[in-house]
Amino acid sequence: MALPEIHVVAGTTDAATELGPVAQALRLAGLLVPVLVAAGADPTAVGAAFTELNLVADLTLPAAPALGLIARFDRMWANRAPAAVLVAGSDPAGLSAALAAAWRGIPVAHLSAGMRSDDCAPQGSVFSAPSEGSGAGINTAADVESDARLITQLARVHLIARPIDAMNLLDEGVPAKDLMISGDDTLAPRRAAQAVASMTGLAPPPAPMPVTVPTATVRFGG
Amino acid sequence: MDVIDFYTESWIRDDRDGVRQVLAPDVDVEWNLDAPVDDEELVQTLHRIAVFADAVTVVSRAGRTDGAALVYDLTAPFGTARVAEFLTVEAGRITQIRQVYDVVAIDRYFPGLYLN
Repeated sequence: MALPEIHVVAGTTDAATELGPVAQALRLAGLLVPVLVAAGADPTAVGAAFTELNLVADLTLPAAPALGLIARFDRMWANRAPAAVLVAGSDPAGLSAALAAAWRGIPVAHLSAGMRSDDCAPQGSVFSAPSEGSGAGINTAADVESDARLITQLARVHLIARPIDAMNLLDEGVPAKDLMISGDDTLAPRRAAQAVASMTGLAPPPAPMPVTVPTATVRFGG
Repeated sequence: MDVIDFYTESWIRDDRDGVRQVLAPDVDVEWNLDAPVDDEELVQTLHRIAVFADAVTVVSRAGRTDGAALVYDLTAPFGTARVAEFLTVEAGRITQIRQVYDVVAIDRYFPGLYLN
């Protein structure tokens, strides 16, 4: 029987660089088949970022502004629905994928979740109406954060690099049971892959990562 | 005008009767706000948004034969909050509404929008 697919969606080179190692770990685990999707305004560059990690994009969507991607993902998943979708950070294509997945009831895992600068107001997000023929609108730091927060609301599992990112999500009301501190060390992709497989019921939850509280050397007196 | 456009234009114009007109009697409503919701609470919340917001903009609309996914920007005096909405239509009425709010921005820019 064929293994279920997980669609790993990258719309920027940064997202591809973050997602690539997790896709490799998923492939090694042999529980889900990672399908790499290159999307966004420059899918060729995203594909090249995958190539740098010795990976090949399985699906390349035509370059499109974020506005057109929800319908595109929805049509794609009407015929080829994955067991889960994995996106990263505040990637605009990731938001489109998360929206389309949520619309179809496909669980979403969010890598590099919880990074916040507390810049709240979107002024011209990727979803701001673009001028004709253009890509997305101007993407300010506030928009990036707004898009990341909306992905948070859509995701079922939040894969976190740092404890502070977990605190941000807890402050936003995300249940602790949905958080996984996968860390940012060499084992992080394996932990993230196991958490994603666990989300689909194919693996037990990963063991919690030990958190080391940073200590400082304090010198008293002269 | 299809039922989804009618619904969207009605609530943005603060036409509560228009919104009620296209909701199925047993419409299923879900949202991620920290408050229970039914069809009347939804109508009242949309009314509060329409009254308080300086502007409500549909920034994305993806359609299927049986529904649509929309993304709105809700512009308030001190900032903008975003909401996604998934709608299902059967026999010319909206039978399911699922709203996903940027709750941080909603709490910041639309205080008191919902009772919790």
